[in-house]
Amino acid sequence: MLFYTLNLNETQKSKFERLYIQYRSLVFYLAYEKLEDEMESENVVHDVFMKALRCLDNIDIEQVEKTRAFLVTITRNHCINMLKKRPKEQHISWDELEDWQKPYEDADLFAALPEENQVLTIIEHMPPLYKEILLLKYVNELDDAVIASLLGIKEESVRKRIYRGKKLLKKELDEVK
Amino acid sequence: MRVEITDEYLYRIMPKVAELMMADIPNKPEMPFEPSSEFDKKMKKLIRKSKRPGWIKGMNHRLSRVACLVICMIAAGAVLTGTVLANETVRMKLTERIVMDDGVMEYFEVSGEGVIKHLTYIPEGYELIAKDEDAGVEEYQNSNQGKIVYVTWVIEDGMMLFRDTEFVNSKNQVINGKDVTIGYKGNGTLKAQWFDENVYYLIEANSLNDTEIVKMIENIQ
Repeated sequence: MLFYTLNLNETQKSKFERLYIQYRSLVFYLAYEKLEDEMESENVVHDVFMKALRCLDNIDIEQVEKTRAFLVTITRNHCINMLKKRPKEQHISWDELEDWQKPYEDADLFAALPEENQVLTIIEHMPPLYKEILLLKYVNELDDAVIASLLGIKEESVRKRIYRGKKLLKKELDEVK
Repeated sequence: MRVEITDEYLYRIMPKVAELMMADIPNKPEMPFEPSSEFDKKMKKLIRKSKRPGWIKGMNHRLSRVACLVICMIAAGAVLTGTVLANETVRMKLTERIVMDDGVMEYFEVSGEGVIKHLTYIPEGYELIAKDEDAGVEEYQNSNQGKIVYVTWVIEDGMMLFRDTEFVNSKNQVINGKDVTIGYKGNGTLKAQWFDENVYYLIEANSLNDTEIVKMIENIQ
């Protein structure tokens, strides 16, 4: 058997393989951060990349920021789903997922921020239930059907969450004086 | 605020939200990711699947039936003529090696097909608790939670193999004419790995010494 080393020739790798090599540590890190369990985090890595494989055509690996955002969103969603399945004492409730954490303590100080910063801060603090769908829709530009398949929900639920997410965002923005 | 939440607005603002979100996440997480052998196998399958064109994926089931038929015909032919076809010589060449933080990723060119060999010696007290022939994994356990995992992966042409090379202490030893790497991980796990024809072998044990592992390898047939 002849062993020798060559330089990495990216074109010889499948797109999926490149994705996996580049981001597997990140996905594992994110999963472990949430689940604090190596075995479960390993399962998340596998499941996340399996989901990525299903919508590989929608991923442009050259767009690093978009790709990272996509994997982060999918990983966090998958972890939340796993946490929901855990025994009661570790269970994460729908209320928690729906809970809108106020992004500011001092309303006057927040109101003094430039408008775009206010919007960004509010969206950043949106419940994951809505934020992750908005990210997949408006950052990764995925179809509702693809998002539904990635998150394991009905297409109708995707549309409803987008609608409710926008409504909640509007309500929150209207409250800022 | 007078912001209209339109699709256009969200397409413009959401990438900025993503940027903010990413700012909190390290580019290269410091936490080492040491995948288990079972995980490696699962990911290898996924990578192989990703390389197949869509039409091949659909054809797989039908092809496996055709393959069964062809094997039956060859077997019948061999019985009738009293001759057995000799195996084609297995040739395997490493075409590329990528050194990573936690191991090496290797690509192979393979022609011919080797035969998987099996364990004939299992250390005393250990019993088979799980076997997955498709995955090429056998798991043995004793009453003290001692575990042995025996992995046999057939390397196919163009396939990638990820091998753990990060050992605290390791040595190379020739056993049955094969160059075997035996090494201890930081957590005390002992790993032995080697190639025989186009088959990659791995024995992983959490409470065995290297003498027992060598004995297991010597008795593989």
